[in-house]
Amino acid sequence: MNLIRTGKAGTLESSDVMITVKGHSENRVEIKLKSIVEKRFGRHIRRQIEDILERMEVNSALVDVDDRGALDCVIQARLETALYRAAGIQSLRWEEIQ
Amino acid sequence: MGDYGFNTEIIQTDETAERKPVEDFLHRLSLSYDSDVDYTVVMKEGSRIVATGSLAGGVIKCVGVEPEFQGLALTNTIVSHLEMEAYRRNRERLFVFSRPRNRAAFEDLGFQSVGEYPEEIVLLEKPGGGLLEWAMSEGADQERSATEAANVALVMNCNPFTKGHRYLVEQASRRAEELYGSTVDESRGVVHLFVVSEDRSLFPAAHRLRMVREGTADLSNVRVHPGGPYIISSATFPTYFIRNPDDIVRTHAGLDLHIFASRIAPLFGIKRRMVGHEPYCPVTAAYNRAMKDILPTYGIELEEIHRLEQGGRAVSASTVRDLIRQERMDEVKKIVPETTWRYLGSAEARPVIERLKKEKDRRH
Repeated sequence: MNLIRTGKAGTLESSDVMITVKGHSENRVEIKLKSIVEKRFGRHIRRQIEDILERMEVNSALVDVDDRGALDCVIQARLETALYRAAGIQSLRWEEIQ
Repeated sequence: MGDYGFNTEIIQTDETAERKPVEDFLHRLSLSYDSDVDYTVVMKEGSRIVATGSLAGGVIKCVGVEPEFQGLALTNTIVSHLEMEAYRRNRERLFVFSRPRNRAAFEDLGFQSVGEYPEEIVLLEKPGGGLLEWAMSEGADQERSATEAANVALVMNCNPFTKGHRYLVEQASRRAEELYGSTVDESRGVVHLFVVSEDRSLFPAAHRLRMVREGTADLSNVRVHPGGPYIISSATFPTYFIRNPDDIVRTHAGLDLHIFASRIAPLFGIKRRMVGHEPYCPVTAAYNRAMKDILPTYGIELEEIHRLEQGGRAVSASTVRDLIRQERMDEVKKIVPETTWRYLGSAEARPVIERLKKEKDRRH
């Protein structure tokens, strides 16, 4: 998946996450994570994001994550939506969604 | 989502009947509802407004929460909503201005401070680091600037670029050379000329920038930069909290100058700002007064230059606009540089001139 513009999804409300993605100027993946539960779940959240990026074949991405204690399923939904928006894809590709 | 008992509504900002309750609500919180707002969201409990926030282009403003509803993170809901709306409008950079005591709340929402007028107002941006990115893309040398650099700054709108502007740039070029010039050091003796980027003037920003570039190309120590959103822009010029018009100008000017002096000047090694004496426009005159108060506190010298006069009047851009409107082009030719004259005769300038003739004059 090729990110052609900035994609944003989510909110800054409690139990949600706001994710902003765009292509990386050095063609790599970089995750900037800010989370209220970073100490306890930071590694887990990073791994989850890396997995989703890999599954969706995103090789160049700057991912900004502002997490307010979102559950895994919320993080997944927000990230996938942000990626679709950034790739300019209008309809869901169901086969890519786990 | 997360609203509990609250409803979120979008206000028709062009309907007086819809604006009125928002205006009343903000007034009770000693905040004003600015006329440049083009999108407003409110949260209501029943029919009562408990929180609101607005967008004016890429600037979040007029954010207020009813005191008894503070602590429920309603600001997060409002700002999230405005951020997604700005995203839908393809605005990748967002600004917010707010009272300094709310600074931490916005930092928590991912904003980073651009600069602050102590006790009065703070400007934040998201994503952070935009000012530094802009300065670097304009060739700022952070390391050198901190130590040996010594340069002059000019800030101009140039609507359009006149012989008056040209005269001021020449003076600055000479001053930079004699005060700080060095044949061995490229970071000294330079004039950094920032052209206002806001597209609110008759001549489009891109045209103004090009007129300045072409009109100063022969001056080897002059570097022309677009001011971007960081110098005299709708972001650095808030009209938010203060109701007295004199205070508005003072606060606007103050924020803009604190950002200039504390953030921009160190990146470009600026030790002196030069400015044309302002005989006509009260806002510009107030801005010049604010410079006298603020710049020296940062160790930046201010030098006011007497403007170039022709026929007993200072050569000004507003005179040029008046003359164009009256189709007195022979007189225009006398007070603009050759490069501007060529531009005015170009096909590109035609629609601008048409518009100029139809419209009443704007101040800048």
